[in-house]
Amino acid sequence: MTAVATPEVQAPAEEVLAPLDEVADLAPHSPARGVLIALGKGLAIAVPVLFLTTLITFALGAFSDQDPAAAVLGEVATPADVERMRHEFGLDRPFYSQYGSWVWNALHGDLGSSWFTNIPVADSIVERLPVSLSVAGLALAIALVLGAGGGIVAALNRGRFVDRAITAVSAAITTVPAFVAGIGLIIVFAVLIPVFPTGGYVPISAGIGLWASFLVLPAFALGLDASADLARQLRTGLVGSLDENYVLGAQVRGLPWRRVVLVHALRNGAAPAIAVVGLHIPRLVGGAVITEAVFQMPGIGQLTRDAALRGDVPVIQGALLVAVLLVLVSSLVVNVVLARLLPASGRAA
Amino acid sequence: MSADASIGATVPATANTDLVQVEDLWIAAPDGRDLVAGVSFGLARGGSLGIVGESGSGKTLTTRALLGLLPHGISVTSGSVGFDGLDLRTLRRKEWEQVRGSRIGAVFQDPASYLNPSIAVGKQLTEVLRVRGGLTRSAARERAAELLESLGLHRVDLVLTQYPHELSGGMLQRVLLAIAICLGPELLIADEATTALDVTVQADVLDLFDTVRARAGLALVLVSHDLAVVARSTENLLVMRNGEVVESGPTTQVLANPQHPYTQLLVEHHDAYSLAGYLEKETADV
Repeated sequence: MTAVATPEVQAPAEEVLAPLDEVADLAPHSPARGVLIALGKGLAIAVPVLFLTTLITFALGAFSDQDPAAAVLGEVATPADVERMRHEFGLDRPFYSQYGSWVWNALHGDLGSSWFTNIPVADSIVERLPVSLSVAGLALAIALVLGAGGGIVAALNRGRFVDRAITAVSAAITTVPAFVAGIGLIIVFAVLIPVFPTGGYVPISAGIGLWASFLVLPAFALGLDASADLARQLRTGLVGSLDENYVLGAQVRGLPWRRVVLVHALRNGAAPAIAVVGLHIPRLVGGAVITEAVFQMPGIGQLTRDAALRGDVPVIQGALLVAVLLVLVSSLVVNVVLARLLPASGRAA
Repeated sequence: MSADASIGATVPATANTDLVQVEDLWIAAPDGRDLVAGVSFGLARGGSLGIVGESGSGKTLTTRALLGLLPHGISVTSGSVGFDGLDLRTLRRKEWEQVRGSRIGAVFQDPASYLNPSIAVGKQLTEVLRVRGGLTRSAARERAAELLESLGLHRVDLVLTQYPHELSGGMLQRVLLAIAICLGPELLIADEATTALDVTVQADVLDLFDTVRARAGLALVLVSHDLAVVARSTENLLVMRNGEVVESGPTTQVLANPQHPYTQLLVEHHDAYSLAGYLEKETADV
């Protein structure tokens, strides 16, 4: 029975305030500090990733044996003409030198020019980016609204009909690829019930209503999958956190139920769902290639596809750079949001 | 300050009627099994009641019925739960939100788990003061610091900015107690609130209950499996087993002269395994 002796032995060591003095001046989990750490970590990862991905895409372009000189000049070109053209494009220089000057120019906003049209790549991207960002942005908004709404409603009605219905519909949606959803939406909402245009794009300057009407179907096609995933993750996370004692604790304090759910339960239960959104953003960017083809939208996806089919290497590189940047920035934002929401989550590290 | 006034105002003028009146309370599991079977007790304003019994005896469920927060699927099947003339069984969610916190407060075992791990403890205290107490942000912060200081915490400005995992069990229980009494309730439920704390801190927290009760005229329901704890802090005692009350009466009387075999067993075991009992046996062996 050694346990009997413990109170006396432990009494001085377990003095109530002892732990406080140790952590007193560190304030190790202040929200601002967590956000700064997340930003720092994100940048530390983003820079090498950016370097590697550009190197790989550049290497793929360089080793793909695409010879713009022959392609541009056609079959009548003499070897001397081809040689002159290769020199003009810088293709006769060694690989590292080509990559070095591409990086140097890219840092100054110059992504080179298309081999075929001579249009500066940066100009093409600036012209088409709004199209892709509009679709991806609206798709993300749809995913967040439907996903968050569905997930919260399902979690609060756990086990009831609404919950099962939302879970079943989400599961069904995640099996449908974006292009199938796109074609389905066109058939229903543009052909059978012609409320939206079948495809194309008008700039926002033509009127917000008109602009939005062209975006609705592609954005739904692109965002449905993400919303279903988000709803399922959020339901699971929220069901878990609603069972936690701190939710009971918040109820015991007489806090309004809405506040208990939206502030106390959601804050901790939403973390996996937010991470899922982070994973979906690259898919929204990448999925645009297919969606833009289905809906004939002149976005980055179409630009990349056309360039890839022609072998227009500078355009492909530029478009990929933009896509990689979008992905890196979005994951940085997601990590910062998580650090802000869950200041204590870093404590295991 | 308004919160000060509300604490002072909770001492009732009419102390002769019971604050809590539970009659023939039955609580059943989803499969129809009775978990609490016909429990009755009363608790006067400012009085104290201990509930002892082994785990699964229904003591926690009984107090949860007083909070209207029974676990999923478990429900009160019959009987009445009265609180200051209110029939708690008929309350809707909105009405419960007016009772919990402001009229009935509660603290539990494992205080860390009852605080949100992602929100600084100060914010969780000021949240109640602002949302329920109607204080402004700065008034709530001031009041929170005062409360924590009055509960024996030091460097409260720092404590308020810390997260639950950064504080010790004793400190967390003080923070929870501050949250539980910050709106000046009339009844405090302490469910195994000192069980997980080591012995010196346990004594501190029990002392705090006494201080708070004396200050605010608070009635206390203290649930524990530890006879020493209830003997020290309560006037009346309920001994529960398998969902039924097997014995009840003034605490000193029940413990000094237990009538029911189960109570006798509890007291005997407690004597045998307590420090005093151990030392007695040691010296007898020598």
